[in-house]
Amino acid sequence: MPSDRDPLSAPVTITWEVTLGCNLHCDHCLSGSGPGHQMPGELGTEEAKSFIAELDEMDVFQVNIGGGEPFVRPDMLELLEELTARDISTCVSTNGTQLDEATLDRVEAMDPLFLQVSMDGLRAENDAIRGEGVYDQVRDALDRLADRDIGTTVNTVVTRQNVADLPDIYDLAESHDAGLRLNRFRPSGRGEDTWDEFRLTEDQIRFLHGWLADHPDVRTGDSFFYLNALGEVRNDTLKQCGAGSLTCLVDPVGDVFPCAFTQWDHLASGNVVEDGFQTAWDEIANLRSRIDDHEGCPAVAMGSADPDGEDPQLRAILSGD
Amino acid sequence: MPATVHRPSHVKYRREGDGGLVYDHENYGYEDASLYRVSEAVVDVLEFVEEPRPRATVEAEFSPAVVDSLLERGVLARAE
Repeated sequence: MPSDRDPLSAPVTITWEVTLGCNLHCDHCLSGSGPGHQMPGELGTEEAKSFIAELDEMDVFQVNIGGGEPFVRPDMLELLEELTARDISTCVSTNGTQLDEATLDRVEAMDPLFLQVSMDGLRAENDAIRGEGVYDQVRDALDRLADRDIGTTVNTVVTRQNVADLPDIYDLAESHDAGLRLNRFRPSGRGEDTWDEFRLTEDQIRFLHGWLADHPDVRTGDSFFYLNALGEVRNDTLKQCGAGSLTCLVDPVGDVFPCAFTQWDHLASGNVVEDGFQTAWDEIANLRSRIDDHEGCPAVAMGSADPDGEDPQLRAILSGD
Repeated sequence: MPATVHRPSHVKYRREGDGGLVYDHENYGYEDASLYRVSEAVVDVLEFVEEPRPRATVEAEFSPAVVDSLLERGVLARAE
């Protein structure tokens, strides 16, 4: 594993939020996206293509496309084709409501491309957060994806309200030949306002880690899940925090941050159009020292204003606080 | 037709410092991916097989032990 002390010439993966526009308005949205929420100056098609060319030159292995809802961009399929034609592994996080058959025809023709469809609970819990009728739309999309040769993952942001649904969501994903990926709810975007409402209780955290121990095929996405309830490394993958060392976030206007959950002005390292992505990446190493003094997820530690500057939920796991 | 070896599509690599990086992922996200530093020689092999090559050719250019090792780790794949 590369060391933080030895900055890489380029990130291994990046997350690229291509728009803050979204047809939904979820209560926990990490980026505060919604209908008409596009940022002024979001990258145009040619700017986006130039950025993709630089990603290719830098040998970035994987691009995780997020938003907002990526497919509200009229040029999204064109940009995905540009990425995959360059053999950049492309993973698209979508709310699943924009996947008509014509879109899926083009997506299926791309390789390497993977889809992640959001589902934040069964019908009642999902629709309470994501909007009335969304659960049924996502179920319909999963039904149609199951008939396609498209690598698909169901993604659930685990909250106080939906943690008990996980066994059923797991079965649902499995029945659609899709993997299940869990993401941690963080105090970012609208999640800052709903942090105390949605974050897991300590008992739920322990339940979750016990359940994960029994389901090793469930994929998890961050340092929180890197450790199990006993503080042991669950498995040896890339779950430790790689913000600013292995990965970074590019926002819709091309500003670069350590990760999706640390989009604060004092952690911006440059802009892919004005400075170029290589310059912004080289600068990010200087920011790393500001974010790596915390145990667990630095974004949670900083976003939740923990008085000890730590990830309070991870500390609860490790010490029983 | 002789057995050939090639780089699987889910394996990506680049030169990094005085060696290289290999990244291996088959699913969404990076959670179950593998990332490791490799020697410059491994990068040389991967560049050599950018187009599938007969296994004997790769072994002659590098060594049978290197090819065996990379096949075992899944960095290379064989095809008949």
